[in-house]
Amino acid sequence: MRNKIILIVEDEPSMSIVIQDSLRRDGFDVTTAKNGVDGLALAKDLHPDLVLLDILMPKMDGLTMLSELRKDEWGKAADVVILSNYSDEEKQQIAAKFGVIDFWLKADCSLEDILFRIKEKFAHLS
Amino acid sequence: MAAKLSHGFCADIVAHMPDGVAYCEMIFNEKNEPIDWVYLEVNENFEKLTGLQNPEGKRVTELIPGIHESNPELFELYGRVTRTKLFEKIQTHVPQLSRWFSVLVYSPGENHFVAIFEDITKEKQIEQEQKDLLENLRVEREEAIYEKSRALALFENIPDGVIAVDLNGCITHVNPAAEEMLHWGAHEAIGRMFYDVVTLSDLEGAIPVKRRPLQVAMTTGKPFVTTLEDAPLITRKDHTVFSVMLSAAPIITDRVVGGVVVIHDVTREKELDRSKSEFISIASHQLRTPLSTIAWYAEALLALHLGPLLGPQKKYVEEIAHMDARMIELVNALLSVSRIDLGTFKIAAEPVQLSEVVDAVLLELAKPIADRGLFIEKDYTCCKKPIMIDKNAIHMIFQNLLANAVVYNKKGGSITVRIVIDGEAHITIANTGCGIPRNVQANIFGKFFRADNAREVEPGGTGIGLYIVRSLLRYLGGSVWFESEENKGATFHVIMPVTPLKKDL
Repeated sequence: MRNKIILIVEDEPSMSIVIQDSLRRDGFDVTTAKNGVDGLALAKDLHPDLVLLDILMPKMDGLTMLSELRKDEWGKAADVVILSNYSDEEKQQIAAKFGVIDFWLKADCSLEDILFRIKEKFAHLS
Repeated sequence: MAAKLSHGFCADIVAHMPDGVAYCEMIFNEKNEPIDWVYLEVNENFEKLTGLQNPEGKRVTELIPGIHESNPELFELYGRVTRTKLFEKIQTHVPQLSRWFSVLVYSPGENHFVAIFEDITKEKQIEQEQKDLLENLRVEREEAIYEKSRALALFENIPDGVIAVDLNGCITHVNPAAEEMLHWGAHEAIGRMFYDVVTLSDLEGAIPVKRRPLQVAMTTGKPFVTTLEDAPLITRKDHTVFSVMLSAAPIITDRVVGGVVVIHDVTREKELDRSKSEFISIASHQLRTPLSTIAWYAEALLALHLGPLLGPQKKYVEEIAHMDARMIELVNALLSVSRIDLGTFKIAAEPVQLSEVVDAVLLELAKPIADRGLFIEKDYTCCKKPIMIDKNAIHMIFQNLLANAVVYNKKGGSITVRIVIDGEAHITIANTGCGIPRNVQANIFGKFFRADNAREVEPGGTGIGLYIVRSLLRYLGGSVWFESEENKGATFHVIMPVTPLKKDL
């Protein structure tokens, strides 16, 4: 059984490093992208089992990437969780329209929380 | 003296004519001024018309005291006629008799005169009434002209668009502001149906007829105003769109005869709202980003992911994590306060079972409750029905009050929560803690205020919790107060209406 592939799309390098390290320790294959453009390309290429998507990013923000992803044959059913510090009801509604599994506020969860929730999602989805 | 009036042919006429007839002798003084007259003979109607009885042989100054002062013109007239022998007519008012008379007078000879008169009091009254009526009409007309000019000036110059329609919804007037807003000339728009010229839609598309403001106003007979939150959109001929506030009112005489719509362009207000909201969201995002990062790095270190930590190292990293958590809490509180202060919180009422919210918050506080060994007592017996309220707002209120009840409590102390719903919702949260000293009670709801005894128990508090509770309750139409004494705990009371106020924060 292969490892689950997780794609982290996050523009703050220190943030993506610490999450990546933590997830890898737990046996996940993790790739990162710094913006929506790279994220979109990597997603279509690697077909990750889960995408952790930030909202505010340069070049292409998270919600735009999400709408583009949904236009792709594989992408339209991809599992995406918004992981961001931007708490705005309007954005949440837009994300919900494009279909995300969940909306996590970084400031409200610990690394442990994130790990736990991801494992829960995988257990739920399979 | 030979009786003239009672003679023969004339006698009948004089007796039956409706006028009064008086045959008199004029009296002059040494200076030849007319000062009196004597009634020699009068006809029957004289008494009826004047109310003077048995005048014959009497002087007028006896019969009507003060007549010389009140009607000098009569003395002048009779004196003149007696001398000139000309026929003259006069209309005069005799105040003592409260009557108007029309008098024809001539002199048959010597110092005598004959006065033939009718009572024209009624006619005079009517004349005066007509004059008054005309004067009133003139004044009313002037006022009407003024009002019309004022209304016109208002209509032409008001910066909001104003459109008037007849009872079929056909446009009758369009003011210059409306022409500019809609890009329709008045001459093009007049005669057309309102909704052909004003294309209204909202987020869900075209607005159905029965919800259109003008329609509602004209059928209900009451004004209808749209809200800023649900501001409808108008699409111009060139497909550009702008948000508006519409105020539609019926024109009512005895029934609805038309309508008026005032259109206020709220593009700027909407933009301002949006940019306030965005500013707060971005500001908190920028503050939270480094804070979350620190939290996670500290967590990774403490979880020994990067190898073992010596005792002192562990303590220092724990302190980093602890202070960082305080900062995050502060940012969250500031975010709430900013939203409340700048008015960008949206209230959405839904049915909420208050006891469930309290239980959820108590669960979130499970660890600190256990750490302090606190005993929780709940009384939900009178909390049967859910109430209509904004879930997030009430959650925040309970979160703040219960967190306080936990943090400022004694070890092994207790918290009592009671909910009573009876016309309104009354929640009581009591604890056995350090309490609020009397000398600071007036300030306890102030922004960033922390009492000294509270600082000793919990140095890291934000001082904004109660400010948030009070502000939120204000917007929900409720209130909060407390009873407390230093070291004797505190009991907080919250009252909320059971049906919500529909408002934005």
